[in-house]
Amino acid sequence: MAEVTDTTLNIWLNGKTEALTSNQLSELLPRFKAPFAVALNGRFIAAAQYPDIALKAGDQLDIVSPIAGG
Amino acid sequence: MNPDFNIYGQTLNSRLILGSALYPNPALMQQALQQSGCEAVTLSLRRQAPEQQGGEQFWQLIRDLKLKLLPNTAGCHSVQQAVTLAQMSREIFQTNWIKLELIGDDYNLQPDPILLLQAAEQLLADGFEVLPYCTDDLVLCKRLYELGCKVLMPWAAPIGSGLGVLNPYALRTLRERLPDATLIVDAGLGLPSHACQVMEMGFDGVLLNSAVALAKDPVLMAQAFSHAVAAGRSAFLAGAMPKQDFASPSTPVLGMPFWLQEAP
Repeated sequence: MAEVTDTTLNIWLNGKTEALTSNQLSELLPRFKAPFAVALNGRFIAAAQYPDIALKAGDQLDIVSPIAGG
Repeated sequence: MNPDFNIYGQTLNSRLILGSALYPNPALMQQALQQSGCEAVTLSLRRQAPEQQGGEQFWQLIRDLKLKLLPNTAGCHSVQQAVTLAQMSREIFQTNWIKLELIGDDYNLQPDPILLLQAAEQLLADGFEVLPYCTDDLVLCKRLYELGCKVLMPWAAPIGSGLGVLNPYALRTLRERLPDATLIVDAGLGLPSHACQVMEMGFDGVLLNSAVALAKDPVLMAQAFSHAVAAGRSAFLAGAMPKQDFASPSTPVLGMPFWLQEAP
């Protein structure tokens, strides 16, 4: 498990700045509705890896869900 | 030529694949997909915006249709973007199929042939079954096929243009030179006659979205495309008559009345 910190952490969440109180990816995800998939700094993060991910300041997190497409 | 419409080992009865975007409302999308008889639908991924409603409804409607899902990488401009989006799609949609789109120009959304090859190679190595959206360039298509893309999706015209087949020579040549590839014309078709035209050439299938979704009556247009694709396929299998530049009467000439043999 990644280390938990109490300091505020500024990241990019879906293109917008976000101040987090935890660096744990898994603590951020419950606000999103399934199904979703995650990329961190442009790289895919498999669901099985979520508990191991500690976020750092300036990280770019993308959380995507199904939409219509052609 | 392939007797069945086969996408990486999965046989589809309908040679028409539809997109899920741009319909006036979700109910019409659902009806159009159902009435088209299609068995596969394209869709995509975008950032989740909890404040925007509708995403869940879309996903539920699509799931209820029980179609095969063909996720795309629309909007990607780099290999890394496309690879990451493909990996995210595989996790969510539980399919190895990926409609690989890598845009090289924002005016006509023309695929970038160089990046397309690079991304296809990475994705194939990662176990994906890649369906690259490509131009009708013969050499590019040969390279993609040689890499291991068993299905190729050349454009007829730019996405959403509805222009129909801009270069019939190029498409005919692709069919001729890649007889064992599954070739699906993707993008640029506006009318059922366009779909019929490429099916008559021997293409294995057609993928379209705007032509149905932006019709005044999408459900009726979906049915029209379904008929056109089936008609074109039958015509291809039947084999067209040879063309000639002069007339040949179809009614027998022998026994024509009013005609007098020339006096001896």
